[in-house]
Amino acid sequence: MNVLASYNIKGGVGKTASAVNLAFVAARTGARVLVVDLDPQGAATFYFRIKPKVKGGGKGLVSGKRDLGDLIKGTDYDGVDLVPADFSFRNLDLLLDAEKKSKKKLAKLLKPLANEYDFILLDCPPSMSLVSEAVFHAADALIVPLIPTTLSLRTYEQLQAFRAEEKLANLTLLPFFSMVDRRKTMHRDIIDRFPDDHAEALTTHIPYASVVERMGTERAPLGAFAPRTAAAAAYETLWAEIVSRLG
Amino acid sequence: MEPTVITPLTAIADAVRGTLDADAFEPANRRLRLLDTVDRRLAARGWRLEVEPIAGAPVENWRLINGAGKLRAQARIPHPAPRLADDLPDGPLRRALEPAVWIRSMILSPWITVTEDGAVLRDQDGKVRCRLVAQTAVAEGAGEQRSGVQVEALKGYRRDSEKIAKRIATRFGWSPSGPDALTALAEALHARPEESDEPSVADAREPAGPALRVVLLALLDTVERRRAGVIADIDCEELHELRVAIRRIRSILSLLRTPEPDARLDHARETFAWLGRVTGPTRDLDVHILAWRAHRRQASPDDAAALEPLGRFLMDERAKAHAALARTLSTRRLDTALARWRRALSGNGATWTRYEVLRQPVGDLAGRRILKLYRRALREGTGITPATPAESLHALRKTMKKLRYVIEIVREVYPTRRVRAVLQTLRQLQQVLGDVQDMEVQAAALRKFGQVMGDSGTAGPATLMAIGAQAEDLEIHRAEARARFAEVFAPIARPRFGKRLSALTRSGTGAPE
Ligand SMILES: Nc1ncnc2c1ncn2[C@@H]1O[C@H](COP(=O)(O)OP(=O)(O)OP(=O)(O)O)[C@@H](O)[C@H]1O
Ligand SMILES: [Mg+2]
Repeated sequence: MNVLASYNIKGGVGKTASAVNLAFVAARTGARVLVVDLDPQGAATFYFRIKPKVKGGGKGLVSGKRDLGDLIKGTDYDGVDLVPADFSFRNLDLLLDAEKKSKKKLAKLLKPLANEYDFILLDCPPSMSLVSEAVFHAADALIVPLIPTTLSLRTYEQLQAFRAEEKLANLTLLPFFSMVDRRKTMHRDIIDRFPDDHAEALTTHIPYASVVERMGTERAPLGAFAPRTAAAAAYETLWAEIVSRLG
Repeated sequence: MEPTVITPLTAIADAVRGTLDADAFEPANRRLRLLDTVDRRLAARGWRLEVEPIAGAPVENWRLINGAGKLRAQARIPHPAPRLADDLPDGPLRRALEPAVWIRSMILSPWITVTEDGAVLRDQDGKVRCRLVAQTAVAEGAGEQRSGVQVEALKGYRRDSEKIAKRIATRFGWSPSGPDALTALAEALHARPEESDEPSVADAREPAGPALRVVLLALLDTVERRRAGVIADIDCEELHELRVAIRRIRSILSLLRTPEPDARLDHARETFAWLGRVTGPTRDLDVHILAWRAHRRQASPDDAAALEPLGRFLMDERAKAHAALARTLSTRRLDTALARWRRALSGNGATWTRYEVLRQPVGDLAGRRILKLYRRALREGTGITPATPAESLHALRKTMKKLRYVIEIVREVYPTRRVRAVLQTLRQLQQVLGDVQDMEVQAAALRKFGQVMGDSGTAGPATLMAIGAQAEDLEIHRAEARARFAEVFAPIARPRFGKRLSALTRSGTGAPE
């Protein structure tokens, strides 16, 4: 089992779009995938048309009284399950703080699912918090969507620094560009130069495309309603590249 | 079994959907074959392995479905496909299959056409809450067919599917749970006779002749069945079981020592001794191949690659040996001999009580033989020290085998727990003796194969090295087994074990234990 987190300190960069679409294409290749919606906004949960309310909530989970497995919901797509967001995940930060060894807690919660899933995709809220620390300890790799802007690159550098400081050498960073508009000179420049200092960068880009925004009205992954679009194809290629990088 | 569905699925969906919306989906057809081992190891786990051809490609799509109807793993496998999981390309499918099917061959079912139509039931958000699937599965040729409707639950929405299933039961009077049409069909296609390969005498006081005649008849059935399995080369287990049945028969025949020569028994003794001999070479090669597979699994990728030529060599040799064996097993000579033996077994009952030895209670006869063999084993084993030549251990192994077979022939007349405990103790010694001999034989054979391959140029230096390493491994194992002899022989040599054994032989005979 591989645990991947869709993560960026910055908001609105395509973390949720990536988690949902990658989960869908991964399942299409035969993998068993679990999406865990860690963002109290519940965007991933919404895309899968699942109601966010969860009995017991985050509190029971962190203190270990509830099994993560009990919260799993089957999505409409074979091979993709979801742990829906819970409004009480809002308090997850506080709870993790109160808990000893909280950094390791999420990893421990996911462990019993190792036989049931080939991949667990964590959709993270945008921030640097106790939740994200717990995510870093649970994940094998961070999938980091970057918008090709200078500001966006700076947050990626912060992330790298944090990884070094926390001695998370086993955590693979897999940055890739998302919402790319090839007509913009700045986008092209940044994309061309980035790999010079970042050998870890994935080479697949996700183009800026209005069909991705339609996921919100269709409430479904791209592959389910617009499988023959360039953006859907890009997510397929991106997934293949991620799998090959995981070795 | 499910009734044949006559109500259209849309009508069923409409009748039971309640507040949910029903969306029918188009009927679809699939043509596929199923794979499972002869002893149905996948079905026993509730799994199903589907094989679908891919138009215009030299590959097939293999899909492993778990008990919940979910895809567990899939892979594209080149056609013609290997029969052992061991030979599949590495990946999730192979890793899922290996522990389940182990070394058993996977056999293809006839072609099956599956027609499916269904409906999804959605809530107001458009979220699927459960699915209804109507399935008809028809096997080509056999004409077998099954159909049924199923309610598929989604994780976290079990309540919805339970509600729907209940409504179907009350409205239509049948239950949509239970195996789906394809699983039910697979079950029907695979039906095998429920005969035991390990028949035993049931009453110790029965006269030996008639009692053993029944066991011999059951064993003859096994021989005939396994003979067909060996000729068809279904799985290496067929040959193994054939040989076990032959040994059991021979062990019974050695119990039936008549005062004067008995043509029927003598002829049977000859037939089965001959069968034991002709089946030997192929079985030996099967064992070599199993050992080679086990070794390759543990080898580093480089060593595994170096071992490939040995595998090809062994499989070629095995193919030759099997072809010869299949010819022998298909001869008129064998047909005639087995038919003659069957006539002897089913014919006039009086001939089976002709001699005193055949009239005495089977429990007494077997019990005396058991104790005699036990005393012989004690004699043979007691003198063995680390310096004793291997031949003495091999002789003891033979005696122990005989002992075990006699016990097994009458095992059902003895108290289950006690006979199991005795067999368990014997088995530990048997295992050690078996390892000592088999590892030695295998290592010698490997060296010989290496030489033949080196001489004929089919093996390069890396392969010869790898063969040498495997032979060394075997010798280390042999030495370890040899060192354990004293430890596993001791419990059998204890007077307490002797007493337990003789009490066992008296149980069920009416004699005080
Ligand atoms: N490739 C794309 N092209 C066009 N729009 C996109 C693309 N990817 C994402 N979007 C849109 O941008 C918005 C933000 O995307 P998304 O929710 O995936 O980002 P996020 O990083 O998860 O945001 P948050 O930090 O709020 O969780 C959404 O409206 C989404 O539809
Ligand atoms: Mg998001």
